[in-house]
Amino acid sequence: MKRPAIAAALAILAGAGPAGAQTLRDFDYARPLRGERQLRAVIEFAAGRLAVGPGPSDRLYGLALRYDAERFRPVGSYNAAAAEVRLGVEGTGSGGIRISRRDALPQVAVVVFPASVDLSLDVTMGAADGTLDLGGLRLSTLELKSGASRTTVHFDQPNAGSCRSASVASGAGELTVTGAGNSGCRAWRFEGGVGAVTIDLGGAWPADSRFTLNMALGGVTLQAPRSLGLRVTMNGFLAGFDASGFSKEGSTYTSANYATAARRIEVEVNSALGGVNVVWK
Amino acid sequence: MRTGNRALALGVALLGALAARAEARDLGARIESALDHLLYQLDQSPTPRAIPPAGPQGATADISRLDDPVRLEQQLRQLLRTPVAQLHLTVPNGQARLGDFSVGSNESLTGNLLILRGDADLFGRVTGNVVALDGDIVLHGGALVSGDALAIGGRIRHRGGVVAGEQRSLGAAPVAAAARPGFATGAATKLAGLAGVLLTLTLLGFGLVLFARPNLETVSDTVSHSVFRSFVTGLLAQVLAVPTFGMMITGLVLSVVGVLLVPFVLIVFPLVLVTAIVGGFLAVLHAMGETHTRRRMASGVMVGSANSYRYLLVGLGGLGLVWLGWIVFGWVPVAGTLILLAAIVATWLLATVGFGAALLSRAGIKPAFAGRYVPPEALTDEYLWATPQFGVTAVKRPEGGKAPRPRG
Repeated sequence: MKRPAIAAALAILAGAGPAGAQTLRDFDYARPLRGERQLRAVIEFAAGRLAVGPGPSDRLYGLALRYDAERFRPVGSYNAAAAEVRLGVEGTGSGGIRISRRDALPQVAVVVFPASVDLSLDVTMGAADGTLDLGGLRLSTLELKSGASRTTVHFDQPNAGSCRSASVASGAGELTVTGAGNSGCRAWRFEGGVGAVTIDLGGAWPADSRFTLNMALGGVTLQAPRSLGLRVTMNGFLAGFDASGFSKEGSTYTSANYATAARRIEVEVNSALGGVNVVWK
Repeated sequence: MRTGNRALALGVALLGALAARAEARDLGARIESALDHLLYQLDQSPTPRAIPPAGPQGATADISRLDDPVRLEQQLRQLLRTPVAQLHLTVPNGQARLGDFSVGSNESLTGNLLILRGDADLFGRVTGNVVALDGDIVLHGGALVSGDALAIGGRIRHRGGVVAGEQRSLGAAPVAAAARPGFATGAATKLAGLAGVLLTLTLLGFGLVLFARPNLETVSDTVSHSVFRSFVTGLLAQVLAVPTFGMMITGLVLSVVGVLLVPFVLIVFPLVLVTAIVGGFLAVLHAMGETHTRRRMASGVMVGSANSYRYLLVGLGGLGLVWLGWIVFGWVPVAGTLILLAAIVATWLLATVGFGAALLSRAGIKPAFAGRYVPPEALTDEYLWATPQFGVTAVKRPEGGKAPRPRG
């Protein structure tokens, strides 16, 4: 009597296991450049690896995507009237979420833009590794929202355009920005969660640039070239600031070279428990 | 699969011969349709033809917007399930074709063009969108697509032609990712892994019983009699192991002569650490097995031979059961993870207790916490004769009647 029951239970267990088949699919999407001067690009990428950078000059945009066909669908649409393109992947709402990285399929997206178009970039990433190589592009605005991701933003070359603002929100992941001065953005705004943020302040800064750091619990490391003048205003109850190389006046810390520096940056830190560390290089 | 294809090919040949000989037009059409269907099954291009428009209530494929290629693909593939002869499809502001299709260099096609199961070879001009399902869009020199181009299950090949609008290509059949094993395969792999670990531990344990039985028993008794103390010791030792190692190396480096001992310590310290952890773990299993066996014996169960080998095997069985739970139920969402965590924590607890017991007993040399301290005088007849062991007199002894009981 017991044996059939055991056999049935084993059969149920054997059948109830996860399905073996998983699928990755390729999707390519591009639009030729037909004299457009500006573009707003909205990129949404939930999981995997995302790379954004400069591309061929004859394309307004290009997306090469490999995605998990079970759980996501590709997004690629262009609104000519608004000069806006939406790129990336969106969930299909089926198949659940692959929580562990082991189970996640290696989704990859490569997005490219030409260097001749004024680009407003809006990137939202979930649990993804992102590399944004924005040097050499004509960046007008940058909005980057990264969740539990590891994101690196490079500005290896000066921005060919005129950047109004850059806004970066980092949740629980790691964020690294290199050559932020090359972005040409006069106003930078960081919204930090609990992750670690490293910002390299190197590059060709426009005059009187301003940095606003709103941090919750995470720490920010500012890597500043010695030629750069820094004035840091700390607002926060338990916010910490490593003040070596700075003179303090109230809640404002001024670097020794501030008066004589060719380029100066105002940094405003609003933090609850986070810390700011300046490393001179 | 290959046999199936051969059978299909044979069928195709037979139907082809029949079609050639058939005089009746309707019969020929039916055979041709069947031929197309078989070719479709064989994954070959069907005979190129135009797909007639469907009636007002018939199938429609709107390819004027190509924003959602996945949905369009689903729609078209659903459509292709119908027999070729009955295939009717309306393409608003355009036409549909089955099989390969080309637009000549001096031709201009007005409207949208949908091609199912074939390549679009374009030399001329198409004023609308071009979509190919299970085929490529080949843009030869001089070709111009005024609208967008979409290749589903194919790609867009540029040979001098131009697409004025957007270009999309949705890859062919989904690429199989590194397939995860099914439940049976995964469970078998995990079971084999567990068996391997248990077998290794069994061999090590038997070796210990064979060559260092007194030490193993002392550590095992330390576990039985001082569990909490062993756990705390093991926990502290885990925390302090690395700093101790670092301090030891630093001290040796700072002292002139000690530098020579650094390579020796680098090898010996981890070795001792691993030995203490593994030996302690085996001693815990021994203690578990011994407790279980003694309880069974106490309840009257006949046990063949109550020795250390049996104790170890019983303890290993207990450990195996914990991990078996994860192997069987590990696939269950949330609960599987909890079972895995429970198994890990249980194993860590056992290892910590064993490590602590091994340290407390100095690898089984010092039975201070093994609960087997017997004063030498307790073993003499004079002591037993002179010392009341039971009753009121025993209680009123100066020691308060707490003379240690001789270990049986």
